Amino acid sequence: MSQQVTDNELIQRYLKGDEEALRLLYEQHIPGVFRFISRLAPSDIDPEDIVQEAFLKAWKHLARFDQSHSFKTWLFTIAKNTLFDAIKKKRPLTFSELNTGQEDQEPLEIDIADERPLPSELLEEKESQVRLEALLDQLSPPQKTVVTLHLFEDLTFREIGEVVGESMETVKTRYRRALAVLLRLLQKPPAS
Amino acid sequence: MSLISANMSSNLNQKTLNDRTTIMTNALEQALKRLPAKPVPTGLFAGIQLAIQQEERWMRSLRRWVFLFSAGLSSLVLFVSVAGQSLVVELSQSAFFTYLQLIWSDTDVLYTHGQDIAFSLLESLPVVNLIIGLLGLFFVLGLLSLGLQFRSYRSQHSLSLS
Repeated sequence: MSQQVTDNELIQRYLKGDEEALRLLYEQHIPGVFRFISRLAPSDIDPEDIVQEAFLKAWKHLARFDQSHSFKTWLFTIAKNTLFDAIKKKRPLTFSELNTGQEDQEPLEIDIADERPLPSELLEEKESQVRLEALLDQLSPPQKTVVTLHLFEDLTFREIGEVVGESMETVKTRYRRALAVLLRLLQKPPAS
Repeated sequence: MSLISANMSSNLNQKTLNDRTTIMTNALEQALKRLPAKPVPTGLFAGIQLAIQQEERWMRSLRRWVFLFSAGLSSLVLFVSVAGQSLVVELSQSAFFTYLQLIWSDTDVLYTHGQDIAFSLLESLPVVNLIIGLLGLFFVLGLLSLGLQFRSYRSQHSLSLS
């Protein structure tokens, strides 16, 4: 909440002409937005460009920002949309990318055999961080967005709902399904 | 009895499976959280600041152009209306309408003196006023079309939050 007040205060100060307030405001949020975009962006898109464009858009619309909402989620929404627009411009979306929530309708089944080792063991045994990153890349963009925002940026499901424009329940389901997909993928032997 | 124990065993297995799933999910979440993040490029804020400055400059020049555009458009509209009025006056003072009335009342004259009538009509037109008025109108339409194109460009590049 204090963060929220600080953000709003900084916005007010900037709108009254204090240029330093914008630097403080942006420097607080640049790392989070950059981490989010760099995890989500495909290799042919430069996350730096996306973050720069997103912050520029935020600056352009700062005066119209509804301060009853969280500045952080607003910023993440702009960044996410900027990235998805860039992906759309770069190449036509594949069916799986267009599928923004259909996977949420499928029954949730985690087929786990008891004899199998735990993920921690699996991780120790056969996969490195590179493998986990590669597995994350196999998630659909909506699933990856939810996982990234929740695990790496500590956004609550409600906040993520605001970012992606979905209900909190949908976001929760999508998150659980994403983890189920990851667990399933993790149990498969890595492709050599 | 054996049915009950089978049920209990199945429930226990289900419970163990659920516990195991929870443990695995938690372990996976922890493993994901430990993934290192890409370091933030050092000049990122400077880049954003530069982009903002460029945008400010562009917006200043845009405001100037909008002002000039509005002033130009208003002057042209004024000019066209003055030229239009003058054209109407010139036309009413010339023999243009007289010739038109003649053609209307006696269409045979077109067959007998068609060429002469056509030349007389053309001669009676206030050509200079007509050219000036049409040029003004052409510029007004050109400016309006430019303005519309610019508006659609801006709306395409505006912030999307959907």
